Amino acid sequence: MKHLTRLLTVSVSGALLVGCATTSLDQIGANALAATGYVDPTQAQGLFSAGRKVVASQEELTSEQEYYLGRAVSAKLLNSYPPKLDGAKTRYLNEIGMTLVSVSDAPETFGGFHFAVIESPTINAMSAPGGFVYLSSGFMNLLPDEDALAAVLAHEIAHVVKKDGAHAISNAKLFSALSEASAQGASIAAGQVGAPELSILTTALSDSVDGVMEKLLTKGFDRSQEYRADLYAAQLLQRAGYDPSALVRVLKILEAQTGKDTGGWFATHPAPVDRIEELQDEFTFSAGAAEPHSRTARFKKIVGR
Amino acid sequence: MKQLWIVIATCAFALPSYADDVWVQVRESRLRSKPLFYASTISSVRYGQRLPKMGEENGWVSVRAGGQQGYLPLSAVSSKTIVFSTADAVKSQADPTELVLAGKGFSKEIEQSLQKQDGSARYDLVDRVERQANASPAEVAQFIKQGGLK
Repeated sequence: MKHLTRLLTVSVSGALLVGCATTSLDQIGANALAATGYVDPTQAQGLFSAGRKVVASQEELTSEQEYYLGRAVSAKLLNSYPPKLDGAKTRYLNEIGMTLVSVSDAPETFGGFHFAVIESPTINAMSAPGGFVYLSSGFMNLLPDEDALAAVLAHEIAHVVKKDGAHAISNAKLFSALSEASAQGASIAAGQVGAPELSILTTALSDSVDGVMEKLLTKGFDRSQEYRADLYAAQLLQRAGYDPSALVRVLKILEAQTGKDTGGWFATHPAPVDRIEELQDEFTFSAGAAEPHSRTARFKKIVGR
Repeated sequence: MKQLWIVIATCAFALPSYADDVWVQVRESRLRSKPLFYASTISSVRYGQRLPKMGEENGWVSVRAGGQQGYLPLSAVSSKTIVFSTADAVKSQADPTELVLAGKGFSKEIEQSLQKQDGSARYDLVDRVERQANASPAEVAQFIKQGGLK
């Protein structure tokens, strides 16, 4: 029975989750399964057909898979930029972040949202799939108040909610690797030794991490994705009760820094002046009230400026 | 007789529809008393738990869990059947296109394999971020109130 369970696990799981198995692949797998004698040819064919259907329907990572991709991206990122998990500042950042997340269209992800400052003098903020949001210490030092800090976090939350990081993976490449894993699953079912499925999926995860990292650190998302993230950030700020024009203030601060810093947000985002223009075309700003004293006071107390 | 028909018709409209079930697709979520993120907690629900859906409004789904009705964010549930083993997948008799097998694809197992292969992957730091970079619902609710936010 244990053997049969393993056999089913390998054969179905290989096809279930991870690729575009072809009809011929189904046949190979089904033949291999049937050859073991644990299932008859009709049952074997059914299992592989079912797997193929599931695989064909998978156009997006599941919530759980997105979380593990986000963890893998974070593991690489934090190796270069260690997190500064100072108690009061980290809690403050998470309180602001969760205030915004709570009014978003995806307030809960598999592992939840986490906001952390990372050690880097470069002006940068990044998010990894599933809800990991990072703000560089250099950017943190530049932000004058809580509403401005909220504006930057809102932009990163937008990338998570819109799944821009998860969509950065080359689907064709991923599906090809995953489909190969299905074929290997069939070989294991036929009694061959080894765990090639594990190796293929590990490579698929590693390649996916590289794809997301390239977007986060060098190439950046498409301009349309950045403009959409700005618009959604302004909407989140408004819904939460922050001043949406704080985002324009942040972009003006960045504009003033142009030339002084060429990495980080400057390398991966459209020019601040273009972002302001696009945002003002799409979002109606009303004259906002001044930031209440309670917010000014807690920012000063916790951030120290 | 006319009165009886009115009672039956009224009851029929009042009865909730159980046509759809949903599955919890996040590790853990709070069943809330109102469709608000920081509403009070009735109970907890866990990944893969199947819940009868009572209704849906403005990004929230109304469900029953442990005999009580409450609300979950729409992003916390999936209409696909989530199973934990291939045996359950076969037993569920669900349309294969509507199945999710938990713990497969990108998973803890693949993560551990990646870590062995790539020594520069600092999962220890990711674990610290997950443990320490948090704010409890009560803290955030207080934070919102104190900061004059909505």
